[in-house]
Amino acid sequence: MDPSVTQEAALAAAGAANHLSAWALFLQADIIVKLVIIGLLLASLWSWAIIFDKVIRLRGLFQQAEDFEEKFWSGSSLEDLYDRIGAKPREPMSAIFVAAMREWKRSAGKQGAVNNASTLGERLDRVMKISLEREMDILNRRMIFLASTGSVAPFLGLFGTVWGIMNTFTAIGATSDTSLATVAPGIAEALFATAIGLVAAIPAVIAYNKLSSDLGRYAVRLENFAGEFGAILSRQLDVRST
Amino acid sequence: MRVSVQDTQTQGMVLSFALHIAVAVGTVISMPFLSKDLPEQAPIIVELVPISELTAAPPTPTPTPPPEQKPDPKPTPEPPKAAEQSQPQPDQMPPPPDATPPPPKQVAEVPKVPPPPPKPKPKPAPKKKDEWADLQSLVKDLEKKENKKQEQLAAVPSLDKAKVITPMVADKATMSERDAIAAHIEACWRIDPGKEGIDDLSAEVRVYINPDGSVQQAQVTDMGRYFADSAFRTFANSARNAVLSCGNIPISPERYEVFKEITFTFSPQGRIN
Repeated sequence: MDPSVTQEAALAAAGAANHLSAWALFLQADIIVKLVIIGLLLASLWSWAIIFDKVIRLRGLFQQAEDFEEKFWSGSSLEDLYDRIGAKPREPMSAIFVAAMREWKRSAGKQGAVNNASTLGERLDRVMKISLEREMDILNRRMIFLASTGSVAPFLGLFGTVWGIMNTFTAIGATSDTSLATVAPGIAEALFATAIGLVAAIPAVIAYNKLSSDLGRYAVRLENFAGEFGAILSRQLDVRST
Repeated sequence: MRVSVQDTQTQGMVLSFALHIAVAVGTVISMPFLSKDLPEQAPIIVELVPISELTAAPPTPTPTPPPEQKPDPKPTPEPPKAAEQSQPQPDQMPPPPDATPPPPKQVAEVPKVPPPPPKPKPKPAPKKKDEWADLQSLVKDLEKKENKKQEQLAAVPSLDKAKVITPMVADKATMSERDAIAAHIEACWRIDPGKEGIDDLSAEVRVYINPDGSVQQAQVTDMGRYFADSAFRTFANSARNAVLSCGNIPISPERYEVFKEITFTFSPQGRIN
């Protein structure tokens, strides 16, 4: 064999080895595999945006809940607290407080004397419950995206892989060349799709579990607060009615 | 003053973008450092044939076997003929199919010729013919089988040689060239493998080769240890002497640029890499 030919072959092999970088794999890929990869990257981007958003917000919410409860139990007048918060509650706990207080003031202000204590208590509970649910609904928004990314992204990546491997086998069939050099790039590019799918899915699943447990804790805290506040208000009603 | 939903969302988006870009940049930057060098192809132990012959090998074996084999099949068919000639009686006698036709003729003749005389004659004759014919067919079968075997044996290896050798040389010429050089030097290397502490020794020798294959220079790379460690010095000297004393190194002039400077690792197990 001519030495120059072998040299060229060696150079070509070295060149092929360099073309297995992630970007080169992406460029070589089939259009469908490309779409899958792009979709997975967008999903990863969006799910990380949600993760950061939720983590920052939840940290702030716990801190604010702490502050609010401190103020609430500090012994100062609830009317003062209501006036200070005003009509724009900063966070769910004060939103529940404001909703209940507003309802209380309305009922108390109109009637002058509280004659129907039981219905007012029920109303207060309902108002607080609705406020709590609304706030939790806002907080839970987009969590479903994390859950579906976690479960669907691996499948999407797998689809890209299967499609890529199908293409590879078609190429083998067309060229009837089964050398590793023909097969390997196609399979590498196909497996790349699964890798991206897993990269998108794993943080999404972990974050979903962590965030949903945190949200659950926060919801319990809000419910407890609502229950305690409702108890205080109903005690107040009893005092007034007697 | 409520923590605005929009605020944290944009914050999240920005952080997410930053994270992804950081990861992408990180991989691009760190990839060249993290990626391990591809493992060198395992050396194929080749027969100690000079490279020039090895590279020239594929063309030569393919033309040579056919002329050898072509005469072979021709003479082999001949032996049956020779056998037939050496046994004129069976040859002259008709083969089994011929032996069967006579009986009908005789049967046809039966009415014409008095039955007693012809009957005894044909009876012994067919028997003889049958025996001879059987023998002959047996011999022929055996000969045919042998011929076939010989043909197969002759044909298969020639194909195999042609198919196996050519790709090997084509794909892995570079590796085997280096191995050939290593093997060449290894043949000149004398060490005492039982020497104490020799297992820990491993010397790298950088060899500079002239275009004609003679060794221009052989350097031990680890000079610090060379001066500090006497056992290593002995070992490295033996390696260096092996290179220097080995005469011309078998390289083809076209490949000189590749092999003008080679570093060999001499390991105590008597292997050179």
